[in-house]
Amino acid sequence: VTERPLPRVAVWLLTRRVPPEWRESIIGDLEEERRRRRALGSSAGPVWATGAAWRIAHALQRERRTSALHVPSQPLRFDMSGLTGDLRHATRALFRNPGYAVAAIATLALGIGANTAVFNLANWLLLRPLPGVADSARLISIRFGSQDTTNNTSVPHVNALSAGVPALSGLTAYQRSQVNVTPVGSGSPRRLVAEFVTANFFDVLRESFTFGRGFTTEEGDPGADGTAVISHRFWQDDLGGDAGVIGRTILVSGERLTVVGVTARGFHGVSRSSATDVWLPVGQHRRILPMYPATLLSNPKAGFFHALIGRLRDGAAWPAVASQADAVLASLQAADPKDARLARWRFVVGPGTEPDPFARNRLTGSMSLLMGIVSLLLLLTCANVTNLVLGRASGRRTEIATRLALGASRLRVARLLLVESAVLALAASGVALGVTWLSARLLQGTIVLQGLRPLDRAEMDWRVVGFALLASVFAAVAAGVGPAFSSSRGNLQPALRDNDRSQTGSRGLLRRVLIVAQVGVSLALLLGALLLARSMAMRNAIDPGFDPARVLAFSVDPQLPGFDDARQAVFYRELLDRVRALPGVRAAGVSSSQPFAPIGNEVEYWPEGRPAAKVDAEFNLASAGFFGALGLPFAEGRDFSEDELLKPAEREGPVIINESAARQMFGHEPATGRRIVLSSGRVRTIVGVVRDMRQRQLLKQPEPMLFVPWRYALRVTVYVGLAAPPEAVAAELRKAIAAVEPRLPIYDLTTLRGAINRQLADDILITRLSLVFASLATVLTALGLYSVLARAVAERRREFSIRTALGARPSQVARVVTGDALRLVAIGTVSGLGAAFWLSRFVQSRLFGVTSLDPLAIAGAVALIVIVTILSAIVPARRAARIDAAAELR
Amino acid sequence: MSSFSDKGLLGELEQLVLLAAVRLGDEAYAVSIRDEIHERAGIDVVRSSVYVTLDRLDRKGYVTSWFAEPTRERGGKAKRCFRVTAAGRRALAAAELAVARMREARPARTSR
Repeated sequence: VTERPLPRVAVWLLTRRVPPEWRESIIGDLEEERRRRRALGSSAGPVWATGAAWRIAHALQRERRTSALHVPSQPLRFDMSGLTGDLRHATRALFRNPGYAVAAIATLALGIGANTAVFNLANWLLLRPLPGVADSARLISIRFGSQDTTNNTSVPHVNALSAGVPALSGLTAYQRSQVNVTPVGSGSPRRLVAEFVTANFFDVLRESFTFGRGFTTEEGDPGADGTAVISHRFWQDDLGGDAGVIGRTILVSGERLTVVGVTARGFHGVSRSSATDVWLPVGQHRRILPMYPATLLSNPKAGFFHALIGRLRDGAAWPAVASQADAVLASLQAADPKDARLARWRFVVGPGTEPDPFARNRLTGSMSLLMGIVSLLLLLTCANVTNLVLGRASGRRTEIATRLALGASRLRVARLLLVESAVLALAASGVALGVTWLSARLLQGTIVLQGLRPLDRAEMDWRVVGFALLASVFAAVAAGVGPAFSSSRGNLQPALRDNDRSQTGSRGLLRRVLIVAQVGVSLALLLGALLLARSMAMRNAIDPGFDPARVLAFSVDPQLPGFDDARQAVFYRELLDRVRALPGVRAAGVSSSQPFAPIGNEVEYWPEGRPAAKVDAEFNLASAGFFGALGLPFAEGRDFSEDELLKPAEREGPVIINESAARQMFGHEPATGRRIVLSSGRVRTIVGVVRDMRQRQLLKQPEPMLFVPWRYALRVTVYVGLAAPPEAVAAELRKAIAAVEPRLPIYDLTTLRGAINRQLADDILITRLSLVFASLATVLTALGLYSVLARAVAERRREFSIRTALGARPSQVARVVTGDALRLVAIGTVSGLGAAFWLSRFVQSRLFGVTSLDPLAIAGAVALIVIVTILSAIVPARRAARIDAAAELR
Repeated sequence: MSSFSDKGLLGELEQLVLLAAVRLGDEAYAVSIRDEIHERAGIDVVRSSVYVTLDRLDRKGYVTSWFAEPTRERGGKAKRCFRVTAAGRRALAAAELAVARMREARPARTSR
């Protein structure tokens, strides 16, 4: 009898679908039974055998799938005990191979660290609850305006809301103002942000104090003795952390106030971007800032409070507040139907304590972009680690094949490999938290985003730790799943033969796909970074009309008791004289506007006799020497004279305009000597036309500006033109001013370059970080490409030897390797460009002077990728070219 | 008792397979077990059910297995042989005892 083997389908079914421990014996059983049946004359052909095999395979599969139902507790217990074993095994395996472990952990730590550091910043700026404030989720904000405008709310309106919104258990309001503060008995004066608040401010917030308490109702009265609450920072830095701080006296604008409380550490007002250090009852406003009208706090038409904060009563939600606030508005309108403000605006209610939706959106936008960039970096590091794990797994094929052969299921082996990558990722997240801590230290004291005060040390909380762990779980899965399943699959026979080292089939393919993806992602990051860098270069190339590095500016506010106009004039004249006499100072002058500050004054005016030609211009006070300090030349006419500054304000007087204003009014005709009428009714004679400059917004075209003589009074900014490095002059400047009046602080001392950088802080941060991250991404990709090529060369030694033996020159062999690399990179570049164009819309709004299709940036990014490819191919290519064919083929 | 509550009641087929394995001793493997049940009890068990039952008993720890030397009539494939463990024997005894007790308990119902 010819012995035919079992039909191939039957064997295939039994090898693929049956648990390994059963495979061989069932094939044997069927073989045995087939002989017996044949002897008995029963059917035993291929149909019978295949049917029997299928039924057995199917039954066993179903049994294994549903066995948990039959044997309830056992598999779980088995799995758990196995897991600790796996963990021990994985840790031991990593210790045995420290080079691999360090490389993988370092790579992952880079990705997770960048993400956690950015998240830590976002958490600090946006997510964490307000320090010291209890149950901040129950706080709501109310502002007076529309969806995109905010006006100040008058005190009577706040009172009406307090009485008319029962959904709130308390309503408070604040107004911000900068004040001069001097601690009595110690220290020099400083300029701080103060908030004038209703007396119940801290009660509504349920603020916990480091020392003392909030304000009592009596302390809110205008006649009460002056009291103040100070911030933890002010107490620590400026009062030396004095334990007896309660009851101490501080001078605020020269008024004596008693400290009654120190807020919780980190509390600087309810807005995330605020930097408040002093809180004062609103009743003190008149005494501290007497220049405002006496009716400011009683006039319903005079906006006062910047924003209102309310606490929801239990069970109430903010929409209820909104409808009750609408009702209050309706009754206010009914009481005064002619009030245009009430007719035009409404009370805008929203959850949370951030009254300024624009600031918040800008912050959120910048942080989201950064998070997007670093998550791409994380993907890239995961791809690199996948490559490392795959490389290691193919070195361990014998081990894995042995496990499978000994009856471990694929899932079991895959789990072992996954546990290994989880251990790596967990270790990496530990390192990442260290990186985050370091980054918080480095960023401390810098202004990371526009409009924020210098950053405190961002402290990590449970959110940050949780985020790091989450990122590590993601990384473990992303980097581990592919290798785990591709390594636990496949034909065991060649792997068990120990000379097999080929990078065949799915693993080689997976590594190549990963490289292509990495090239694509790095290209996208590089392109984005280069676009941002080009925009930055374009911004820096803008000529504001003066050299911003050679001008220092500082502000001073002569708020002191007894400092009347005459006294102020003496002070300012002495100050300017001293400053002008300092070595390294070219010129000095004064303007009413701070450099690159967002808010300015607008005025309407027209050429005398032509009221129809009415136009807008920015209105500034300026002293003689101001234009000289900036180095702005006069197109025609002259600067103010000292006489013109000292003359009291009259119905007529001189004015200096800029070229834009002159062009707007008089075309190309000379403007000097002509007269203009301001909307206040004053008539002014043009004495000079000064060159255009950008003093408010660097990125906007210069606008028409008017300058009228400053009369040695009020809060102003002093501009100092330098002939020496700013650092040297700044110190002398402080000394000189302290000598004139030690009780007045100078503040916002900066070069105009510094003021510009502050305005562009968001773009600078994002550009710098995206350059750093794109470079990291490119280096990682290069390393990944190198490892793939090096492995390929090692595996193709025989092939290269044969090529050499058949007469290929070393350069031809090398070209095979570089060609391979360039092919991968070409695919990656093409797909990466596609992704990059799609992604570039996220940086679109931050581009300046370039489009997202900027040819220079695209060419630069592609060139960088190609250079990096060639660099990472050089070593493997040379290795391939130098293979000793004779030795290899022996 | 404990073997019942921990691992569930032995099914009929499980009892038959275990009993066959006890009888066959070192000669117990899927084919011989099926033959044994056929000969002794006159029951034709579906082939795949024998494998499933052995697989389950193995995972419950009632049998252990080893591979016998491959033979020519089996196409050079090894035999997977089974032996009933002590736990398996206890489970069998417990199952028989449970049935016996249930029979004894029957008259007691009327006395209430």
